[in-house]
Amino acid sequence: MYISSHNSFRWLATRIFLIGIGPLFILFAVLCSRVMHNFLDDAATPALRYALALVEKKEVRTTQEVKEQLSMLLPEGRWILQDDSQHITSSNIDDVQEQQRLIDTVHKQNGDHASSIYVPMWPLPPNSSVWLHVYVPGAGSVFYGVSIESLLPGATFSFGLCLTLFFSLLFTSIFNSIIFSSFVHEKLAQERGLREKLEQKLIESNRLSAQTRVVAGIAHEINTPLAIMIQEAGWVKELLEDLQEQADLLDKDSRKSLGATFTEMNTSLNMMQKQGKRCADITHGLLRMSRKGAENKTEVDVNVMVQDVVHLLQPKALDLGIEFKWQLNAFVPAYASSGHVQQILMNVVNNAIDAVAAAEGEEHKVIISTFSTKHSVLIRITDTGVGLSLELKNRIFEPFFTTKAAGKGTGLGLSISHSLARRNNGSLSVESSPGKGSSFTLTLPVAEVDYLPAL
Amino acid sequence: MEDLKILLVDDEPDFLSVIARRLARRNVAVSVASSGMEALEKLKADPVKVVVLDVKMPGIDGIETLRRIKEMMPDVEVIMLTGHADLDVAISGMALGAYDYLLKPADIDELMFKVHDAASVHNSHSS
Repeated sequence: MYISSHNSFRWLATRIFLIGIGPLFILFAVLCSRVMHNFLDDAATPALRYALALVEKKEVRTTQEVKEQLSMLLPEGRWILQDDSQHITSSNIDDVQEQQRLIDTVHKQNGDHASSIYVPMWPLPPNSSVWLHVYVPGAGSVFYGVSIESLLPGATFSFGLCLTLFFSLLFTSIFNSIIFSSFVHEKLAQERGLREKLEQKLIESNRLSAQTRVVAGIAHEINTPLAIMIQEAGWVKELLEDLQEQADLLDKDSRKSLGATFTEMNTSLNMMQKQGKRCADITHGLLRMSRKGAENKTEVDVNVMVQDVVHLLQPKALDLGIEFKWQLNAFVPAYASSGHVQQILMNVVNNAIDAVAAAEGEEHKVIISTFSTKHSVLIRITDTGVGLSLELKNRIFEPFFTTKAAGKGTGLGLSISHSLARRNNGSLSVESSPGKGSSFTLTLPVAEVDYLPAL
Repeated sequence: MEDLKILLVDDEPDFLSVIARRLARRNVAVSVASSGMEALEKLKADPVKVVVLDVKMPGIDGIETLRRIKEMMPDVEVIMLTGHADLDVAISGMALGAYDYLLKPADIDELMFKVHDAASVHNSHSS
Protein backbone atom coordinates (compact mmCIF):
# COMPACT_ATOMS: atom_id res chain seq x y z
CA MET A 1 0.00 0.00 0.00
CA TYR A 2 1.31 3.38 -0.94
CA ILE A 3 1.18 6.27 1.54
CA SER A 4 0.77 9.56 -0.30
CA SER A 5 0.97 12.94 1.34
CA HIS A 6 -2.85 12.99 1.40
CA ASN A 7 -2.90 9.82 3.41
CA SER A 8 -0.88 11.47 6.11
CA PHE A 9 -0.68 10.30 9.66
CA ARG A 10 -3.05 12.99 10.97
CA TRP A 11 -5.65 12.26 8.34
CA LEU A 12 -5.42 8.58 9.14
CA ALA A 13 -6.04 9.34 12.83
CA THR A 14 -9.04 11.49 11.97
CA ARG A 15 -10.51 8.81 9.78
CA ILE A 16 -10.10 6.12 12.37
CA PHE A 17 -11.78 8.38 14.94
CA LEU A 18 -14.64 9.46 12.70
CA ILE A 19 -15.41 6.01 11.36
CA GLY A 20 -14.85 4.10 14.57
CA ILE A 21 -16.01 6.31 17.39
CA GLY A 22 -18.03 9.16 15.84
CA PRO A 23 -21.30 7.18 15.41
CA LEU A 24 -21.08 5.92 18.99
CA PHE A 25 -20.92 9.45 20.32
CA ILE A 26 -23.89 10.57 18.26
CA LEU A 27 -25.93 7.63 19.56
CA PHE A 28 -24.88 8.44 23.10
CA ALA A 29 -25.93 12.08 22.78
CA VAL A 30 -29.34 11.19 21.30
CA LEU A 31 -30.02 8.65 24.04
CA CYS A 32 -29.09 11.14 26.76
CA SER A 33 -31.41 13.78 25.37
CA ARG A 34 -34.28 11.27 25.19
CA VAL A 35 -33.76 10.13 28.78
CA MET A 36 -33.54 13.71 30.02
CA HIS A 37 -36.66 14.57 28.06
CA ASN A 38 -38.62 11.84 29.79
CA PHE A 39 -37.35 12.77 33.23
CA LEU A 40 -38.40 16.39 32.77
CA ASP A 41 -41.77 15.39 31.42
CA ASP A 42 -42.39 13.22 34.46
CA ALA A 43 -41.18 15.91 36.82
CA ALA A 44 -43.55 18.50 35.37
CA THR A 45 -46.60 16.23 35.15
CA PRO A 46 -47.84 16.64 38.80
CA ALA A 47 -47.86 20.41 38.46
CA LEU A 48 -49.93 20.19 35.28
CA ARG A 49 -52.36 17.70 36.86
CA TYR A 50 -52.71 19.96 39.87
CA ALA A 51 -53.51 22.97 37.68
CA LEU A 52 -55.97 20.98 35.58
CA ALA A 53 -57.69 19.68 38.74
CA LEU A 54 -58.12 23.22 40.00
CA VAL A 55 -59.61 24.26 36.69
CA GLU A 56 -61.89 21.24 36.67
CA LYS A 57 -63.22 21.91 40.12
CA LYS A 58 -63.74 25.56 39.24
CA GLU A 59 -61.54 26.61 42.12
CA VAL A 60 -59.76 28.86 39.72
CA ARG A 61 -61.58 30.64 36.94
CA THR A 62 -59.15 33.06 35.39
CA THR A 63 -55.76 32.60 33.81
CA GLN A 64 -54.33 35.00 36.39
CA GLU A 65 -55.41 32.66 39.20
CA VAL A 66 -53.94 29.61 37.50
CA LYS A 67 -50.67 31.48 37.05
CA GLU A 68 -50.59 32.36 40.76
CA GLN A 69 -51.30 28.79 41.82
CA LEU A 70 -48.52 27.53 39.60
CA SER A 71 -46.02 30.11 40.85
CA MET A 72 -46.76 29.01 44.40
CA LEU A 73 -45.89 25.45 43.36
CA LEU A 74 -42.97 26.29 41.11
CA PRO A 75 -41.51 29.67 42.04
CA GLU A 76 -39.47 31.96 39.82
CA GLY A 77 -41.10 30.87 36.56
CA ARG A 78 -41.71 32.89 33.45
CA TRP A 79 -45.25 33.20 32.36
CA ILE A 80 -47.39 34.37 29.45
CA LEU A 81 -51.20 34.74 29.64
CA GLN A 82 -53.45 34.53 26.58
CA ASP A 83 -57.13 35.32 26.34
CA ASP A 84 -59.59 33.03 24.59
CA SER A 85 -58.89 34.55 21.20
CA GLN A 86 -55.15 33.89 21.61
CA HIS A 87 -54.12 37.45 22.28
CA ILE A 88 -51.35 37.92 24.78
CA THR A 89 -52.80 39.85 27.70
CA SER A 90 -49.89 39.95 30.09
CA SER A 91 -46.43 38.42 30.72
CA ASN A 92 -43.35 38.82 32.88
CA ILE A 93 -41.23 38.64 29.71
CA ASP A 94 -40.58 42.08 28.31
CA ASP A 95 -39.83 41.19 24.72
CA VAL A 96 -43.10 40.81 22.77
CA GLN A 97 -41.49 38.87 19.93
CA GLU A 98 -39.90 36.47 22.41
CA GLN A 99 -43.35 35.85 23.97
CA GLN A 100 -44.83 35.00 20.60
CA ARG A 101 -41.89 32.81 19.68
CA LEU A 102 -42.21 30.80 22.89
CA ILE A 103 -45.93 30.28 22.40
CA ASP A 104 -45.37 29.19 18.80
CA THR A 105 -42.75 26.67 19.87
CA VAL A 106 -45.12 25.15 22.46
CA HIS A 107 -48.00 25.07 19.96
CA LYS A 108 -45.89 23.48 17.29
CA GLN A 109 -45.29 20.54 19.56
CA ASN A 110 -48.64 20.18 21.31
CA GLY A 111 -51.44 21.79 19.33
CA ASP A 112 -53.40 24.91 20.15
CA HIS A 113 -56.02 24.18 22.77
CA ALA A 114 -54.65 21.22 24.67
CA SER A 115 -53.13 21.44 28.09
CA SER A 116 -49.63 19.97 27.83
CA ILE A 117 -46.00 19.93 28.83
CA TYR A 118 -43.33 21.20 26.47
CA VAL A 119 -39.76 19.95 26.89
CA PRO A 120 -37.18 21.28 24.43
CA MET A 121 -35.49 18.88 22.01
CA TRP A 122 -32.08 19.35 23.65
CA PRO A 123 -32.77 19.90 27.36
CA LEU A 124 -29.54 21.59 28.41
CA PRO A 125 -29.75 22.87 32.00
CA PRO A 126 -28.56 26.51 32.11
CA ASN A 127 -30.92 28.15 29.60
CA SER A 128 -33.71 25.90 28.47
CA SER A 129 -36.94 25.68 30.39
CA VAL A 130 -39.90 23.35 30.50
CA TRP A 131 -43.21 24.96 29.66
CA LEU A 132 -46.62 24.05 31.08
CA HIS A 133 -49.56 24.96 28.95
CA VAL A 134 -52.84 25.09 30.90
CA TYR A 135 -55.99 25.83 28.98
CA VAL A 136 -58.76 27.37 31.00
CA PRO A 137 -62.03 27.04 29.08
CA GLY A 138 -63.63 30.39 28.49
CA ALA A 139 -60.71 32.33 29.90
CA GLY A 140 -57.72 31.52 27.77
CA SER A 141 -54.29 29.86 28.11
CA VAL A 142 -51.54 30.05 30.69
CA PHE A 143 -47.98 29.39 29.56
CA TYR A 144 -45.78 28.82 32.57
CA GLY A 145 -42.05 28.18 32.04
CA VAL A 146 -39.75 26.79 34.69
CA SER A 147 -36.03 26.35 34.37
CA ILE A 148 -34.79 22.77 34.38
CA GLU A 149 -32.75 23.70 37.44
CA SER A 150 -35.81 24.42 39.58
CA LEU A 151 -37.69 21.38 38.24
CA LEU A 152 -34.80 18.94 38.85
CA PRO A 153 -32.40 20.52 41.38
CA GLY A 154 -29.59 17.99 40.60
CA ALA A 155 -29.72 18.50 36.84
CA THR A 156 -26.85 20.96 36.51
CA PHE A 157 -24.61 18.76 38.61
CA SER A 158 -25.55 15.65 36.63
CA PHE A 159 -25.09 17.52 33.39
CA GLY A 160 -21.65 18.68 34.48
CA LEU A 161 -20.76 15.15 35.45
CA CYS A 162 -21.95 13.85 32.08
CA LEU A 163 -20.01 16.57 30.31
CA THR A 164 -16.85 15.64 32.20
CA LEU A 165 -17.36 11.97 31.37
CA PHE A 166 -18.08 12.84 27.76
CA PHE A 167 -14.94 14.89 27.32
CA SER A 168 -12.72 12.39 29.06
CA LEU A 169 -14.11 9.68 26.76
CA LEU A 170 -13.62 11.93 23.75
CA PHE A 171 -10.07 12.68 24.77
CA THR A 172 -9.32 8.99 25.35
CA SER A 173 -10.69 7.94 22.01
CA ILE A 174 -8.85 10.67 20.08
CA PHE A 175 -5.70 9.73 21.91
CA ASN A 176 -6.28 6.06 21.11
CA SER A 177 -6.96 6.70 17.46
CA ILE A 178 -3.73 8.66 17.25
CA ILE A 179 -1.83 5.82 18.89
CA PHE A 180 -3.57 3.25 16.74
CA SER A 181 -3.00 5.18 13.54
CA SER A 182 0.64 5.66 14.36
CA PHE A 183 0.82 1.91 14.84
CA VAL A 184 -0.85 1.34 11.47
CA HIS A 185 1.42 3.94 9.95
CA GLU A 186 4.47 2.23 11.30
CA LYS A 187 3.26 -1.12 10.00
CA LEU A 188 2.75 0.36 6.55
CA ALA A 189 6.17 1.94 6.61
CA GLN A 190 7.64 -1.39 7.61
CA GLU A 191 5.82 -3.08 4.75
CA ARG A 192 7.11 -0.48 2.36
CA GLY A 193 10.63 -0.90 3.65
CA LEU A 194 10.37 -4.62 3.12
CA ARG A 195 9.08 -4.18 -0.41
CA GLU A 196 11.80 -1.69 -1.25
CA LYS A 197 14.38 -4.14 0.01
CA LEU A 198 12.87 -6.82 -2.20
CA GLU A 199 12.84 -4.53 -5.21
CA GLN A 200 16.43 -3.63 -4.52
CA LYS A 201 17.27 -7.31 -4.53
CA LEU A 202 15.41 -7.83 -7.79
CA ILE A 203 17.17 -4.89 -9.45
CA GLU A 204 20.44 -6.22 -8.12
CA SER A 205 19.92 -9.67 -9.58
CA ASN A 206 18.74 -8.23 -12.90
CA ARG A 207 21.79 -6.04 -13.02
CA LEU A 208 23.96 -9.04 -12.28
CA SER A 209 22.36 -11.17 -14.95
CA ALA A 210 22.62 -8.33 -17.49
CA GLN A 211 26.29 -8.02 -16.64
CA THR A 212 26.64 -11.75 -16.97
CA ARG A 213 25.14 -11.66 -20.45
CA VAL A 214 27.45 -8.87 -21.58
CA VAL A 215 30.45 -10.64 -20.14
CA ALA A 216 29.49 -13.93 -21.78
CA GLY A 217 29.08 -12.15 -25.12
CA ILE A 218 32.54 -10.66 -24.83
CA ALA A 219 34.00 -14.00 -23.78
CA HIS A 220 32.45 -15.64 -26.79
CA GLU A 221 33.90 -13.05 -29.15
CA ILE A 222 37.33 -13.32 -27.57
CA ASN A 223 37.35 -17.10 -27.80
CA THR A 224 38.13 -17.34 -31.52
CA PRO A 225 41.03 -14.82 -31.65
CA LEU A 226 42.35 -16.55 -28.57
CA ALA A 227 42.24 -19.91 -30.31
CA ILE A 228 44.10 -18.43 -33.30
CA MET A 229 46.78 -16.94 -31.04
CA ILE A 230 47.36 -20.22 -29.25
CA GLN A 231 47.52 -22.10 -32.54
CA GLU A 232 49.92 -19.56 -34.08
CA ALA A 233 52.19 -19.85 -31.05
CA GLY A 234 52.11 -23.62 -31.51
CA TRP A 235 52.92 -23.16 -35.18
CA VAL A 236 55.93 -20.97 -34.42
CA LYS A 237 57.07 -23.61 -31.94
CA GLU A 238 56.89 -26.24 -34.63
CA LEU A 239 58.85 -24.04 -37.05
CA LEU A 240 61.39 -23.58 -34.31
CA GLU A 241 61.77 -27.34 -34.01
CA ASP A 242 62.52 -27.50 -37.76
CA LEU A 243 65.09 -24.73 -37.34
CA GLN A 244 66.66 -26.57 -34.45
CA GLU A 245 67.08 -29.68 -36.59
CA GLN A 246 68.86 -27.62 -39.25
CA ALA A 247 70.99 -25.85 -36.64
CA ASP A 248 72.24 -29.22 -35.45
CA LEU A 249 74.00 -29.54 -38.80
CA LEU A 250 76.03 -26.31 -38.23
CA ASP A 251 79.47 -26.05 -36.60
CA LYS A 252 79.78 -26.14 -32.82
CA ASP A 253 80.06 -22.38 -32.05
CA SER A 254 77.11 -21.20 -34.09
CA ARG A 255 75.11 -24.17 -32.78
CA LYS A 256 75.86 -23.08 -29.24
CA SER A 257 74.83 -19.45 -29.74
CA LEU A 258 71.75 -20.40 -31.76
CA GLY A 259 70.84 -23.07 -29.20
CA ALA A 260 70.67 -20.51 -26.37
CA THR A 261 68.38 -18.29 -28.47
CA PHE A 262 66.22 -21.25 -29.41
CA THR A 263 65.81 -22.28 -25.79
CA GLU A 264 64.77 -18.75 -24.88
CA MET A 265 62.33 -18.54 -27.78
CA ASN A 266 60.90 -21.88 -26.78
CA THR A 267 60.41 -20.71 -23.20
CA SER A 268 58.75 -17.56 -24.45
CA LEU A 269 56.42 -19.51 -26.76
CA ASN A 270 55.54 -21.89 -23.94
CA MET A 271 54.65 -18.88 -21.84
CA MET A 272 52.46 -17.55 -24.65
CA GLN A 273 50.64 -20.85 -24.84
CA LYS A 274 50.32 -21.10 -21.08
CA GLN A 275 48.89 -17.61 -20.74
CA GLY A 276 46.63 -18.23 -23.71
CA LYS A 277 45.27 -21.34 -22.01
CA ARG A 278 44.70 -19.29 -18.88
CA CYS A 279 42.63 -16.85 -20.94
CA ALA A 280 40.77 -19.81 -22.37
CA ASP A 281 39.98 -21.03 -18.86
CA ILE A 282 38.56 -17.62 -18.03
CA THR A 283 36.40 -17.46 -21.14
CA HIS A 284 35.17 -20.99 -20.50
CA GLY A 285 34.31 -20.04 -16.94
CA LEU A 286 32.40 -17.02 -18.18
CA LEU A 287 30.55 -18.99 -20.80
CA ARG A 288 29.64 -21.66 -18.27
CA MET A 289 28.21 -18.90 -16.12
CA SER A 290 25.73 -17.82 -18.78
CA ARG A 291 24.92 -21.13 -20.34
CA LYS A 292 21.40 -22.37 -19.85
CA GLY A 293 20.12 -25.88 -19.59
CA ALA A 294 22.15 -29.07 -19.99
CA GLU A 295 22.45 -29.55 -16.25
CA ASN A 296 21.02 -32.71 -14.86
CA LYS A 297 19.37 -31.98 -11.58
CA THR A 298 18.99 -34.78 -9.11
CA GLU A 299 18.54 -35.23 -5.42
CA VAL A 300 21.71 -34.00 -3.80
CA ASP A 301 22.74 -34.84 -0.27
CA VAL A 302 24.42 -31.59 0.73
CA ASN A 303 25.98 -33.21 3.78
CA VAL A 304 27.98 -35.54 1.55
CA MET A 305 28.88 -32.63 -0.72
CA VAL A 306 30.20 -30.63 2.20
CA GLN A 307 32.24 -33.59 3.42
CA ASP A 308 33.75 -34.02 -0.04
CA VAL A 309 34.70 -30.37 -0.31
CA VAL A 310 36.13 -30.33 3.20
CA HIS A 311 38.15 -33.39 2.35
CA LEU A 312 39.51 -31.71 -0.80
CA LEU A 313 40.39 -28.42 0.85
CA GLN A 314 41.53 -29.71 4.23
CA PRO A 315 45.25 -29.89 3.20
CA LYS A 316 45.25 -26.28 1.99
CA ALA A 317 43.54 -25.10 5.16
CA LEU A 318 45.96 -27.02 7.39
CA ASP A 319 48.91 -25.47 5.56
CA LEU A 320 47.57 -22.03 6.37
CA GLY A 321 46.80 -22.98 9.98
CA ILE A 322 43.06 -22.75 9.55
CA GLU A 323 40.66 -24.90 11.50
CA PHE A 324 37.72 -26.46 9.70
CA LYS A 325 34.49 -27.14 11.54
CA TRP A 326 31.28 -28.55 10.21
CA GLN A 327 27.81 -29.22 11.51
CA LEU A 328 25.63 -31.28 9.22
CA ASN A 329 21.98 -30.88 10.08
CA ALA A 330 20.25 -31.06 6.72
CA PHE A 331 17.77 -33.90 6.93
CA VAL A 332 16.39 -33.69 3.40
CA PRO A 333 18.19 -33.71 0.06
CA ALA A 334 18.26 -30.65 -2.18
CA TYR A 335 17.18 -30.66 -5.78
CA ALA A 336 20.10 -29.36 -7.81
CA SER A 337 22.93 -30.28 -10.10
CA SER A 338 25.58 -31.91 -7.92
CA GLY A 339 28.39 -30.59 -10.12
CA HIS A 340 27.14 -27.06 -9.65
CA VAL A 341 26.77 -27.44 -5.91
CA GLN A 342 30.30 -28.77 -5.69
CA GLN A 343 31.63 -25.90 -7.79
CA ILE A 344 29.82 -23.31 -5.67
CA LEU A 345 31.08 -24.88 -2.44
CA MET A 346 34.64 -25.05 -3.75
CA ASN A 347 34.54 -21.39 -4.78
CA VAL A 348 33.00 -20.12 -1.59
CA VAL A 349 35.08 -22.25 0.77
CA ASN A 350 38.26 -21.37 -1.11
CA ASN A 351 37.34 -17.74 -0.77
CA ALA A 352 36.66 -18.17 2.93
CA ILE A 353 40.07 -19.80 3.42
CA ASP A 354 41.77 -16.91 1.60
CA ALA A 355 39.82 -14.38 3.66
CA VAL A 356 40.82 -16.07 6.92
CA ALA A 357 44.44 -16.35 5.80
CA ALA A 358 44.48 -12.61 5.12
CA ALA A 359 42.99 -11.75 8.52
CA GLU A 360 45.13 -10.86 11.51
CA GLY A 361 42.75 -11.94 14.25
CA GLU A 362 43.42 -14.74 16.70
CA GLU A 363 40.76 -17.08 15.48
CA HIS A 364 41.33 -18.85 12.19
CA LYS A 365 38.23 -20.81 11.55
CA VAL A 366 35.94 -21.77 8.70
CA ILE A 367 32.64 -23.20 9.82
CA ILE A 368 30.39 -25.00 7.38
CA SER A 369 26.91 -25.85 8.53
CA THR A 370 24.00 -27.37 6.72
CA PHE A 371 20.38 -27.28 7.75
CA SER A 372 17.01 -27.62 6.16
CA THR A 373 13.64 -25.93 6.40
CA LYS A 374 10.35 -26.98 4.90
CA HIS A 375 11.12 -25.52 1.49
CA SER A 376 14.86 -25.13 1.32
CA VAL A 377 18.17 -26.66 2.14
CA LEU A 378 20.78 -24.22 3.37
CA ILE A 379 24.53 -24.41 3.48
CA ARG A 380 26.24 -21.69 5.47
CA ILE A 381 29.93 -21.02 5.24
CA THR A 382 31.09 -18.72 8.00
CA ASP A 383 34.65 -17.49 8.32
CA THR A 384 36.56 -15.38 10.81
CA GLY A 385 38.26 -13.57 7.97
CA VAL A 386 38.69 -9.94 7.01
CA GLY A 387 35.01 -9.34 6.36
CA LEU A 388 33.48 -7.02 3.81
CA SER A 389 32.63 -3.36 3.86
CA LEU A 390 29.18 -2.43 2.58
CA GLU A 391 30.63 -1.33 -0.74
CA LEU A 392 32.48 -4.60 -1.22
CA LYS A 393 29.42 -6.52 -0.15
CA ASN A 394 27.34 -4.87 -2.85
CA ARG A 395 29.84 -5.67 -5.55
CA ILE A 396 31.11 -9.07 -4.51
CA PHE A 397 29.00 -11.02 -7.01
CA GLU A 398 29.99 -8.85 -9.97
CA PRO A 399 32.11 -10.59 -12.57
CA PHE A 400 35.80 -9.60 -12.48
CA PHE A 401 35.41 -7.98 -9.09
CA THR A 402 38.30 -9.14 -6.93
CA THR A 403 40.24 -7.92 -3.93
CA LYS A 404 43.04 -10.36 -4.49
CA ALA A 405 46.37 -9.38 -6.02
CA ALA A 406 46.62 -9.44 -9.81
CA GLY A 407 47.16 -13.00 -11.02
CA LYS A 408 45.83 -14.54 -7.80
CA GLY A 409 42.19 -14.52 -8.70
CA THR A 410 40.10 -13.81 -11.73
CA GLY A 411 37.17 -12.30 -9.84
CA LEU A 412 34.91 -14.88 -11.39
CA GLY A 413 34.52 -17.49 -8.65
CA LEU A 414 31.75 -15.84 -6.70
CA SER A 415 29.91 -14.48 -9.71
CA ILE A 416 29.91 -17.91 -11.30
CA SER A 417 28.71 -19.37 -8.00
CA HIS A 418 25.97 -16.76 -7.79
CA SER A 419 24.65 -17.51 -11.27
CA LEU A 420 24.95 -21.26 -10.73
CA ALA A 421 22.89 -20.94 -7.56
CA ARG A 422 20.27 -19.00 -9.46
CA ARG A 423 20.19 -21.55 -12.24
CA ASN A 424 19.43 -24.22 -9.66
CA ASN A 425 16.49 -22.11 -8.41
CA GLY A 426 18.47 -21.25 -5.34
CA SER A 427 20.36 -18.23 -4.14
CA LEU A 428 23.70 -17.26 -2.73
CA SER A 429 23.71 -14.41 -0.22
CA VAL A 430 26.28 -12.84 2.01
CA GLU A 431 26.25 -11.31 5.50
CA SER A 432 29.37 -9.61 6.72
CA SER A 433 30.87 -7.17 9.13
CA PRO A 434 34.31 -5.71 8.45
CA GLY A 435 37.03 -7.23 10.62
CA LYS A 436 34.81 -9.95 12.05
CA GLY A 437 34.26 -12.21 9.10
CA SER A 438 31.65 -13.09 6.52
CA SER A 439 28.94 -15.65 6.19
CA PHE A 440 27.81 -16.97 2.83
CA THR A 441 24.53 -18.82 2.62
CA LEU A 442 23.66 -21.08 -0.27
CA THR A 443 19.95 -21.80 -0.41
CA LEU A 444 18.70 -24.65 -2.58
CA PRO A 445 15.19 -25.98 -3.12
CA VAL A 446 14.21 -29.17 -1.32
CA ALA A 447 13.83 -32.24 -3.52
CA GLU A 448 10.20 -33.22 -3.92
CA VAL A 449 9.78 -36.44 -2.01
CA ASP A 450 6.45 -37.56 -3.36
CA TYR A 451 7.72 -41.06 -3.93
CA LEU A 452 9.75 -43.41 -1.81
CA PRO A 453 12.85 -44.89 -3.41
CA ALA A 454 12.59 -48.63 -3.86
CA LEU A 455 14.23 -50.41 -0.96
CA MET B 1 51.26 -43.51 -42.11
CA GLU B 2 48.96 -43.25 -45.06
CA ASP B 3 48.03 -39.83 -46.35
CA LEU B 4 44.97 -38.51 -44.65
CA LYS B 5 42.79 -35.89 -46.25
CA ILE B 6 40.33 -33.75 -44.34
CA LEU B 7 38.07 -30.78 -44.97
CA LEU B 8 38.22 -27.95 -42.45
CA VAL B 9 35.22 -25.60 -42.25
CA ASP B 10 35.31 -22.34 -40.28
CA ASP B 11 34.24 -18.77 -41.03
CA GLU B 12 37.47 -17.37 -39.58
CA PRO B 13 40.18 -17.39 -42.33
CA ASP B 14 43.04 -16.86 -39.89
CA PHE B 15 41.95 -19.88 -37.89
CA LEU B 16 41.66 -21.97 -41.04
CA SER B 17 45.13 -20.95 -42.14
CA VAL B 18 46.93 -21.79 -38.93
CA ILE B 19 45.17 -25.11 -38.40
CA ALA B 20 45.79 -26.05 -42.03
CA ARG B 21 49.51 -25.27 -41.66
CA ARG B 22 49.84 -27.23 -38.44
CA LEU B 23 47.92 -30.23 -39.74
CA ALA B 24 49.88 -30.17 -42.99
CA ARG B 25 53.03 -30.44 -40.92
CA ARG B 26 51.55 -33.60 -39.43
CA ASN B 27 51.05 -35.14 -42.87
CA VAL B 28 47.37 -34.37 -43.09
CA ALA B 29 46.23 -32.88 -46.38
CA VAL B 30 43.77 -30.12 -45.56
CA SER B 31 41.31 -28.43 -47.86
CA VAL B 32 39.48 -25.50 -46.34
CA ALA B 33 36.04 -23.94 -46.70
CA SER B 34 34.83 -20.79 -45.05
CA SER B 35 31.11 -21.48 -45.18
CA GLY B 36 28.68 -24.36 -45.07
CA MET B 37 27.73 -24.02 -48.76
CA GLU B 38 31.35 -23.93 -49.85
CA ALA B 39 32.04 -27.01 -47.76
CA LEU B 40 29.22 -28.94 -49.41
CA GLU B 41 30.46 -27.99 -52.90
CA LYS B 42 34.06 -28.93 -52.11
CA LEU B 43 32.94 -32.20 -50.58
CA LYS B 44 30.96 -33.03 -53.73
CA ALA B 45 33.92 -32.24 -55.99
CA ASP B 46 36.57 -33.87 -53.84
CA PRO B 47 35.32 -36.38 -51.25
CA VAL B 48 37.28 -36.70 -48.00
CA LYS B 49 37.06 -39.07 -45.05
CA VAL B 50 36.81 -36.54 -42.23
CA VAL B 51 35.25 -33.07 -41.95
CA VAL B 52 36.09 -30.72 -39.10
CA LEU B 53 33.16 -28.35 -38.79
CA ASP B 54 32.67 -25.16 -36.79
CA VAL B 55 29.18 -25.00 -35.24
CA LYS B 56 28.74 -21.24 -35.37
CA MET B 57 28.92 -19.83 -38.87
CA PRO B 58 27.01 -17.19 -40.79
CA GLY B 59 24.75 -18.52 -43.54
CA ILE B 60 23.85 -22.15 -43.00
CA ASP B 61 25.26 -23.10 -39.63
CA GLY B 62 27.26 -26.12 -38.55
CA ILE B 63 24.24 -28.22 -37.59
CA GLU B 64 22.52 -27.65 -40.94
CA THR B 65 25.76 -28.35 -42.80
CA LEU B 66 26.17 -31.54 -40.79
CA ARG B 67 22.65 -32.67 -41.69
CA ARG B 68 23.27 -32.07 -45.42
CA ILE B 69 26.65 -33.80 -45.36
CA LYS B 70 25.10 -36.82 -43.67
CA GLU B 71 22.29 -36.86 -46.26
CA MET B 72 24.74 -36.64 -49.13
CA MET B 73 27.47 -38.93 -47.83
CA PRO B 74 26.54 -40.87 -44.70
CA ASP B 75 30.02 -42.39 -44.49
CA VAL B 76 31.87 -39.11 -43.95
CA GLU B 77 32.87 -38.61 -40.32
CA VAL B 78 32.27 -35.14 -38.89
CA ILE B 79 34.02 -33.59 -35.88
CA MET B 80 32.22 -30.56 -34.47
CA LEU B 81 34.26 -27.61 -33.26
CA THR B 82 32.51 -25.34 -30.81
CA GLY B 83 32.84 -22.42 -28.45
CA HIS B 84 31.65 -23.29 -24.98
CA ALA B 85 28.31 -21.53 -25.33
CA ASP B 86 27.25 -23.83 -28.15
CA LEU B 87 28.01 -27.01 -26.26
CA ASP B 88 24.35 -28.02 -26.31
CA VAL B 89 24.29 -27.54 -30.05
CA ALA B 90 27.35 -29.72 -30.40
CA ILE B 91 25.71 -32.40 -28.29
CA SER B 92 22.62 -32.27 -30.48
CA GLY B 93 25.04 -32.58 -33.42
CA MET B 94 26.17 -35.87 -31.93
CA ALA B 95 22.59 -37.02 -32.13
CA LEU B 96 22.61 -36.14 -35.82
CA GLY B 97 25.53 -38.47 -36.40
CA ALA B 98 28.63 -36.38 -35.75
CA TYR B 99 31.62 -38.49 -34.71
CA ASP B 100 32.81 -36.25 -31.87
CA TYR B 101 33.08 -32.66 -30.73
CA LEU B 102 35.92 -30.42 -29.56
CA LEU B 103 35.92 -27.27 -27.45
CA LYS B 104 37.53 -24.12 -28.84
CA PRO B 105 40.33 -23.24 -28.37
CA ALA B 106 41.25 -26.84 -29.17
CA ASP B 107 44.60 -28.39 -28.59
CA ILE B 108 46.16 -29.39 -31.94
CA ASP B 109 47.25 -32.79 -30.68
CA GLU B 110 43.79 -33.51 -29.41
CA LEU B 111 42.41 -32.54 -32.80
CA MET B 112 44.94 -34.80 -34.53
CA PHE B 113 44.03 -37.65 -32.24
CA LYS B 114 40.32 -37.32 -32.98
CA VAL B 115 40.88 -36.88 -36.71
CA HIS B 116 42.86 -40.13 -36.82
CA ASP B 117 40.23 -41.91 -34.77
CA ALA B 118 37.51 -40.70 -37.12
CA ALA B 119 39.56 -41.77 -40.14
CA SER B 120 40.06 -45.29 -38.80
CA VAL B 121 36.32 -45.56 -38.09
CA HIS B 122 35.72 -44.42 -41.68
CA ASN B 123 38.12 -47.04 -42.96
CA SER B 124 36.38 -49.79 -41.03
CA HIS B 125 33.09 -48.60 -42.59
CA SER B 126 34.37 -48.75 -46.15
CA SER B 127 36.20 -52.07 -45.84
